[in-house]
Order: sequence, then structure tokens, then C-alpha cells
Amino acid sequence: MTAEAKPSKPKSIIIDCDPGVDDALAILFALGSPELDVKAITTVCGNVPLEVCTKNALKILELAKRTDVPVHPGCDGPMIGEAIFGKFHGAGGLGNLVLPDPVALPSEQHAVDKMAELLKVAKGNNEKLTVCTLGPMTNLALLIKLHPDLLSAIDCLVSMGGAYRIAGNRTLTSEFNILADPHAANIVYSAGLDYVALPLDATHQAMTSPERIAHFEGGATGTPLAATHRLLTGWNRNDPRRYGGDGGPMHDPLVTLYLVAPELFKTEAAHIFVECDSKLCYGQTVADWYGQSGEEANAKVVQKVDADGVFSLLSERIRSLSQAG
Amino acid sequence: MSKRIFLSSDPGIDDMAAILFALADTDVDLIGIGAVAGNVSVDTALENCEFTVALADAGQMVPCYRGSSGPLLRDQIFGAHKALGAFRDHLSGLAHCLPNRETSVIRPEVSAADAMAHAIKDAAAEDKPITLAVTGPMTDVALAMKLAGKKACLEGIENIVAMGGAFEALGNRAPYAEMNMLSDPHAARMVCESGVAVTLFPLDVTWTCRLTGMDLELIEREAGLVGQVFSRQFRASDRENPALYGGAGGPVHDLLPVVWLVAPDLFHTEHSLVSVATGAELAGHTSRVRNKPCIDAENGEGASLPHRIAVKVDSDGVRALFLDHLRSLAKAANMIKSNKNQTKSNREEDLQ
Repeated sequence: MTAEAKPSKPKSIIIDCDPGVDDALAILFALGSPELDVKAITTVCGNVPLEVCTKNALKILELAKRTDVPVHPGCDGPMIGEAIFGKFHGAGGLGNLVLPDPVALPSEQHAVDKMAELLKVAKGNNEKLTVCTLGPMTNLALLIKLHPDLLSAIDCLVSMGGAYRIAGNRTLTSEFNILADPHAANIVYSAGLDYVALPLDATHQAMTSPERIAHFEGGATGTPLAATHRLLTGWNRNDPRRYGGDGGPMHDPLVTLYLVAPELFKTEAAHIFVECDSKLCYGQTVADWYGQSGEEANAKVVQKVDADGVFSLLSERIRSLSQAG
Repeated sequence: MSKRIFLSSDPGIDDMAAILFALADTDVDLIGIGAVAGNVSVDTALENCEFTVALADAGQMVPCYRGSSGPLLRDQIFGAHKALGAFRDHLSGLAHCLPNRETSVIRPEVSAADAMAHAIKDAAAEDKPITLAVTGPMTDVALAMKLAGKKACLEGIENIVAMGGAFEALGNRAPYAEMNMLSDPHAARMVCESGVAVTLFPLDVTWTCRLTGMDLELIEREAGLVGQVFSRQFRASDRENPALYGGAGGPVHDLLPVVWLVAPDLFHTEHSLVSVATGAELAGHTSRVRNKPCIDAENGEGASLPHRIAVKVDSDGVRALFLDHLRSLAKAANMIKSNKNQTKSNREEDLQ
């Protein structure tokens, strides 16, 4: 896998996110990948409150010297219920990484309006956009309800979220992004999009380790590579009983990695459901692998990840981003 | 000072009453009407909104926005009178007097929820809060509020008045739920949990304010074309059910929240905390906390009662005020017509 493999035209993508340590890595990877053209970053209340997410997105873009990418703040909480926040991102959302306050300001335009605008332009040009979600899917659910006519311009939706064959992380049954807004997930699953899910089943296969983190060594201070190294060293969950070893799971970066190197992932088609009513299982995602529900598959769910390939490609692209400019 | 109101509706004959009343009232500045799928499809709702605005010919061209084509999560359930569909289809004999379909409306590009979200944000920025009146499912209101964000909603919305819910009355479209709540329980829950003041007009009170045959005769006789169209539509929907309501006449549910905005003295309301069930078994069921019986000293739950529920209405007063408003619409329409004729004859004189 080399960085020289340039496709003729990069894939246009929108990254909807809640940075977030692992969101930061997903964004940096996308910016370092010539196969991807990041049209906008939209933020949503998730790992940290909306204003913090938005500020972090701006910080990450300034770190990568890519302030040409606009940041659009979106929804400030889930559709129903109170907001929940992440547990492993520190008060500022970027773990042990301290970045200077951003100079640039976020756009005045709402995330959902920006998505609609980009999709409308794409539709007019007979082109398509790929949407990535790294956090709760509130913004996307609103887009689906408000602009059903524009959904045909979405080429593919790739999301980090859910837990199918393994237990939840935030509750016994539920993964954080889906638990944070299960009703939004329900709307997304029912929208008939070409949908790729990266659940905990996949992300727990891509664990950090001292050897893998060593790939990210040697970056000069203030570069994305040095920042990534710092983020990864603080990401150890110290919970081998749950994860089968040391290290922390690479959730969000897998989304943008999937777009560049789908051959590192194995998916299974299924109809997926989300539980919105139960108290015990609120936010649980359930997959019908064997056609028991009578419903046609509405998702490709990643079940296997080439973890070494993931870390090697991730480090390669963030290294090249650090050398650019 | 006049009240600026954005109305979200799914006409529906009683929505029509609400729209006509709002257009007629001099203290109401109707800044927009959103049509939402509910009683009828969104297309029919929009057509009926536009028809009603054009029919009233109140000198103000209120924009009618196309809203959501269905609820947030469940499938659309239609109203009991959905078969009536478009108003225009039931007015044979009046066709020659009706407003022209193509030329009489403003048709904006943006959707109802987008327009409402912008109105909320502008109201917050200018510190001139607006009122949202809801006479259909709360789908568009919930989307607009989510889009505008919590801060703008708290600063930009003075009050949300809505026809919806049932407490002692149980339900109409389901044994346990009122139609608007049943139609989109998730949206209703989002609105009720938003922290914004909501004043609810449930079936318990709307069933006690009914237009009788005599009311309709008066309206037909004294309120010109508007009155004739309204009476005919109302009769066509055959809303009487004396066994259920305990007397003659048909309820005109959606009218009440709009009347309350200008004539609160005709109502008695109580502070409450309203919950809307969204679970599979009782979705759309509304329950309330009154007089803080559920206060938990530890976490303060139940201590704040952000909602009001109308518990009593002066039916005679509301019906008289409604007739009065329709009369004034008819009078205004006549004046506009005679002015137009005047201008026309002046022009003809000039030409000669």
C-alpha cells in the first residue's frame, strides 16, 4: 500500500463528527489521503458538547494547515432525551493533546443546511457525495427528514456505530454513538441509503499496541504525526479482559480508512434494527444475519479488519500529511 | 402590540377555522403557515392552506410552506375525515366565486421546518420572540426546534400553543390517544421536553366547544363567501356525536389554541408537566403532573411545571368571537372587492 496510488478523481466526502480523540485521527487520515476530497466538516453534540466539538474540528484543521475546509456546527443534542458525553476524551475532548486555540471561526451555516447545499450542487452536476458519520447521527437524521429529495445524491454512508456480535461499550447492550441518539439511527437505517456500518465488532479488532504506536514516532513538534503519537499513547484502556489485550480500540479512523482501502475490511450484509423503547436495551443494535425478519438487508456491517494494514496505512498518510506544505 | 405567529397545520376543517381566525384577528400577525402531513397528505394540506389564505383574501399574503410528508419515525395515520381531502372538491355551485388556484398564493422554496427554524433564530437574535401555533402533528415544529438549537428556542419562542392530547377524555383516533399526538408521538415528545412553554388544548376541552347547526346557519348567512365555504365544509365532515359529547354540534378543536392567544379570558388553564409516551404499546398517550404531587426532594423532579393545559372553555364566548371574526373577514373582502371595482371603473373612465 503506497501513497502514490492516486485515483483520477478523488471521492468528495462530508465528515460529520464529534471530535473526540479518534475523530481527530479519522480527519487527519482523510486530509492526508489524495483519494479523498473533504468538502466540509460538520459537528454534532457527542463525545463532548457541540461548541467543544466545533472548536476541536477547527483546531485539527489548523494543525493540518487545512483551514480551507469549512466547519459547520450542527445539532446541540439528540432528538429525544438528554445528551450523554464520551468518557475517554478528557474535558477538552482531545485527551492529553493540547492544541492552540483556533484562529478561524466556524461557519454561520448549520451543518444540515451545508450538507443539503453540497448535495444539491452534486445532484445538479450529476455527481455524488460520500457521507461519513463519526458521532451520533442527529444531523444526518434531520437531513433525511428535511431533504428526502436530495438523498439520491449520497453515494454511500459510512458510519462508526453499533455493536452486533459483541457487547456494548457505554451500556451492556449499546455502543455510544447509537445510544446517544437511537431515534436518529432509526431514521438513518430506514432511509434506504447504501450504508456501511463500522461497529464495535470491527473497531475492537484494531487495538493500539506499543509496536503499532511506534509507527507514528519521529514527528516534529506541532505536526499531525506528533499529535497523533501523543493521542495514541493516551488511548490505552488498560482493560485486557474486555479487549483481549492492552491498548485502545481505533473506532472512528476506520471510517475514513474504509473509504480509501476497503480491501482491509470484510463486510456482511444484514438488516439492522435499533431499539428505541426498552429501558434495559436502549440504543441496542440488532442484525438479522440469516433473513429471519423477512426484511431485506439495509446495511453492510464490517465484521473483520486487517489491523496491521490499518495502522500501517494510517501512519503512512498522517506522516505524509505532516511532510506536506 | 400584535403577536407574531407561525402556524403549523394539516387542514382539516378545524385547521381552516384556526387559519381564518388568525387571518381575521387584528392583534395577530401571521408570519407563515406550514402544511404538514396529518389529517391528509402533505400535498392536500398545502393545497388547503393555500386555498384558505386565498379565500380569506384578508389583504395580507401569508406564505404557505410545504412541510414534512410524514411523521419522524412512524407511518402516517390519516384523520377520520381524510376522505374529504381537498376543500375545493366539495364546493360545487360556488366554484365561480372561489379564488384562482394559481395566482393567489406565495409559494416559497424553503420547507416549513426550515422557515420556522429561521423565524425562531431571527426572533432570538432580535429579541422579539414569536409564538408557534400547532394544529396538526408536531413533526415540523420538532424538526425546526432541533435545527434552531436549544438556546435560540428558549430565547426566540414565547409560547407554543397546540391542539393535542387527551387526559380524562382518553382518546379519539385510538382509545388511549388523541390524533395529533398519535400521529407523531416522537415529535410531540421532543416539543414537550424542549423546555419551552407549551399550552395544550386537549380533547377534554375541545369536545366541550362545538359548532351547532344554528352556528353554521349564522356563519353561512352573515359571513359572505368565507362563511358559506366554511359551513359547507363543516357540515360535509359530519362531526356530530351526541352520545360521546353529551350534546349537539361538532367540535372545532384546532380553533381553540388560536383563540386563546387573543382571548385568554375565555379559558381556564392549569400549570402542568405533560409527558408523551413513545413506546410501542401506548405511543401518543399523554399524561400530566398537576400541582406538583410527584416532587422528588432529592433531584427536584416534578418541581417545574413548564406546560399549561386548558381545562375549561367558555364555548358561547369562543363561538361568538369566531362568528365575529368571520364577519369581519367578509366585510374586509367586500371592501377590497368594491375598491377593486372602483379602481377598475376609474380606469375604464380614464380610457374613455
